[in-house]
Amino acid sequence: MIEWVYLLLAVSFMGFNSFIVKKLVKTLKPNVVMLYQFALAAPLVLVYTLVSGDFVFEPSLLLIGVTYFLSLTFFYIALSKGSLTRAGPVWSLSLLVTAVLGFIFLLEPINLKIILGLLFGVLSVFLLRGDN
Amino acid sequence: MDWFTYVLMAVLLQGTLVFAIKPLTGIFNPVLLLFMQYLGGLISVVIYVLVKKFNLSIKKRELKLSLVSGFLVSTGLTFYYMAIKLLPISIASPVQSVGIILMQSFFGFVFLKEKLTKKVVMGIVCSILCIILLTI
Repeated sequence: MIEWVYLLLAVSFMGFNSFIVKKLVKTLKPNVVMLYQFALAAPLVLVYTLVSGDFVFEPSLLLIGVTYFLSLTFFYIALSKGSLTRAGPVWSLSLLVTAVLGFIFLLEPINLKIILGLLFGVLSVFLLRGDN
Repeated sequence: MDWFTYVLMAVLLQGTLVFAIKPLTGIFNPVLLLFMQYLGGLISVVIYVLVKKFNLSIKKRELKLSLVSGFLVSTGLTFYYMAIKLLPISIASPVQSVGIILMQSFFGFVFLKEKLTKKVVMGIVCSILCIILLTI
């Protein structure tokens, strides 16, 4: 049960955030918004880490951040060369990439209900993001 | 390179990143992983904006909104990383993506008075079906 509460809170916070970001990128470059976001997020999450459990500095984990930065930057470049109407729906496929990797490498259960759920998910993101 | 190549690289990186987090949550504190993500991201973005010589000046209101955004996204991701430790990634990832898009549409409709077109209504129906199928 608690995992669904976490997910609901995550969606609520991030959904509201995307609304704010949409306003910000009208006047600022996305990477500048990212800089200010990360400048607050890094120390804040450090506090969350210290409160929630053990802190182990493992430098190789910084690659997660580099990958995160690269994926967002590539998406912003795609937006500058194309448009959100075209790049947005393709971006929505990332949820499918994660799920397929989960099925293949983590042997997570797969059935018709999950496949249909994923298809409706991709379709909904395609339909809702296309016009923005 | 054209826009499609860039967005394809972004999709593969993003999809693989979220997938890679799942097994790592079994070894490390999920919130520590998020901290390392932000630290690595911060170092990368600082280098990028300095090399590209972006104008970093920002109005007071924009700074406030950026900081609020930083709080929301980092706190939201903290909850998300705690959730993916406990849920299959093939369920948590789509539910999170669809939920965010659904909220965007809701905020757009309520606060920005965006039109509720047939396409948007179909999108909302699909997203509700997705969440029902994946969570029940």
